[in-house]
Amino acid sequence: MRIVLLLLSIALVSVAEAAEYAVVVARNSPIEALDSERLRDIFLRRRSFEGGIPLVPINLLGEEAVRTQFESLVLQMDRGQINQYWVTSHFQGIKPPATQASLQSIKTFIERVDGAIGYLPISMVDDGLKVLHEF
Amino acid sequence: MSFKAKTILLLILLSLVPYVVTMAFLGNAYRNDVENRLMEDMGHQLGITIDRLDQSLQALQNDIEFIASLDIMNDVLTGDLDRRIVNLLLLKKDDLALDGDFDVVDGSGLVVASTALDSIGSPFNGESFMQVPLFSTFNNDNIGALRVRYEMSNLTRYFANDGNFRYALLVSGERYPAQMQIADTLSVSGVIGLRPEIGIIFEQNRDFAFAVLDSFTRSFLIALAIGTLIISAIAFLAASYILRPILLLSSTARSIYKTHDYSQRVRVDRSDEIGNLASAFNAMIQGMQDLIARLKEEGENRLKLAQEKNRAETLQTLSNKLSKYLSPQIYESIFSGEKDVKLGSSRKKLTIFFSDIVNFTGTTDQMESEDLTALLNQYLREMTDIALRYGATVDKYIGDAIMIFFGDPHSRGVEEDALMCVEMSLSMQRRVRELQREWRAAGYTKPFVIRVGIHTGYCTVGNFGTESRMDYTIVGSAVNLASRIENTAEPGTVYISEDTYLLVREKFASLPVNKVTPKGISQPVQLYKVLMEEAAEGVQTLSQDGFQLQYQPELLTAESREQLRLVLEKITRESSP
Repeated sequence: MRIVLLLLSIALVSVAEAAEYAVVVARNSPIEALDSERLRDIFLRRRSFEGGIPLVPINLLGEEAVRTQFESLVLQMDRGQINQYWVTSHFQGIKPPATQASLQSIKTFIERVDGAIGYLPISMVDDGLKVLHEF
Repeated sequence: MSFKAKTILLLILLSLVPYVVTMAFLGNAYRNDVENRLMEDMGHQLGITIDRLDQSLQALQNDIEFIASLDIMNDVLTGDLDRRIVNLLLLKKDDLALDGDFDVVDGSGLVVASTALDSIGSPFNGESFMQVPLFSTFNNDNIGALRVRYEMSNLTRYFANDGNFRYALLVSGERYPAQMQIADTLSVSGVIGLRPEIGIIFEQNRDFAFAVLDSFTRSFLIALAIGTLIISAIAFLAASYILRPILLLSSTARSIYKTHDYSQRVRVDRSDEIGNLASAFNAMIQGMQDLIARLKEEGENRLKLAQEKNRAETLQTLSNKLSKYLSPQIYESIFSGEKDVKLGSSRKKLTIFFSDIVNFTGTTDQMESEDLTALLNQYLREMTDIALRYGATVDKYIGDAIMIFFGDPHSRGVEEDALMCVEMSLSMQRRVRELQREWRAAGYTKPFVIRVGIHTGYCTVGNFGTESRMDYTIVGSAVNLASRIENTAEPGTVYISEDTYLLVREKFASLPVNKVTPKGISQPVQLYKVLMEEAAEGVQTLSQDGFQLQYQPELLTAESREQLRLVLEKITRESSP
């Protein structure tokens, strides 16, 4: 199923070239926009603050399309590279971002936790969220 | 209490006391020791149990701390939308078989996730036994707490309680499991290291704990009772063995006391002290037997002596009485054993005395018999006294007459006997004259006058009569002559025969009087009248063959002198051839 979805997503991205996902923060966050470079630093826990605000990156658990898309487009790393990265970082005391098991819980998490930053399908973005980056 | 009972008791005490004391002491010590060991064991067991409980609680603590550290706990922030926490907690509860619940409470006190599903979304209102705070894994903010509601059954499930062993928890005065306490227990207690407010008690039924010891004690008491019986029996036998000779001694002594049979002995078959005692007892009884035999012999001798003495006294009394009927000389002679009292006689020359009261019959007819007896007795007593004073042998009283002789049994010689006899006769006459005055003074108008006849001649003296009735007296013609002379004598005078006269003429003045011819004697016998001394006072007596001259010089006158000269001249002329 996941494979089907993955293939479908790739097909869609390649076909439409239109952004489907967005990196979001809470509406009241002072952060307005972040580029891929900055997002990569944040999600690889190389950078914890943005504009004096501590950031809480949040990952979707598992291999959902949104996550793989985020990793390949934003982080520009495949899962093997990422795992390798976290193994190495672990010895430097750097832990991977927290996870949530569902998109809904990511949304809720972002809404409730100060500095939380995550990615969601654009369709799920509402007034409570602020889009910083689309991919 | 008898000596035997005392000995038995003593032996039992000696045997049992150390035994009982030792066993009691050891038993008590053993009991204490057992109790100490039991308590120690219980302490160990309790320690093990406490360790297990501690481990269990520690494991729980570790578990919830681990859970609290998981990323999942970040879901508190999303209200556990994905139910990841609930699932985890349910798994864990199931895994631990927990009696109770896990609750995850957010910062506002709302239950975000719980194994009690009903309570999710409502404020936490249970009692939290254990809790750990939850921190977000990304910025370490406190995002709530993981709490455990914990039942004591989680701990008490480790207890394997039965009727004799019991574990119990004590929490705020509550006992878990809620059971009745065993009445009499050994108990140890402690607290759980991780949770000092939870006390734990381990109890053991004392009866059960000491069951083995009690069983041992029972066996010991039975053994003691049997031992006591055996020791008592041995003590009884020993006491009997020891005391048998003593009892034998005692019964023998009693038997001797009752039967007075001192020939009884105790059998000695032992060489110990008691054997020595029995030997000594036998020796003592032997000594007593000898002593008693000696005493008996002595007693018999004494009795014999006493009887003899008694007989002698009787004899003495009798002889004293008898002596009154006998002349003292005869009496003494007989009783001193000089003379045997047997029929027999000897011939001796004696001086024989006879006296009687002149005209006694005529005098006495006019007297009362009492007066007569008194007078006669006085007379005879007085005369006898005089006779005895002169050593005379009073032969017999013949009515008013007295028969006396000199020369047997004691003789001073014929001449001396004759002198004594004459002197006695004169004394008697003098005494009678004195008595006459007394009697006259007493009113007897005709007092006694006595006459005396004396003769010296051979008599047969001795015991006459039969073996059953004897009389010591003298017989012979001399006796008859003496009696005859007495009959011839004038009242108030003493007549003596020529034979006597020849013996006494040197001492006593006598006048020749008439001659008598006794029966059976052809020749007449010249008699002399002894002159009383009073009459002869101043009188000179010259006596030769053929004449006797008496004169009183101071009374001689010239005339009487001339007359005497003429007479003497005539006599001398006529008689010259």
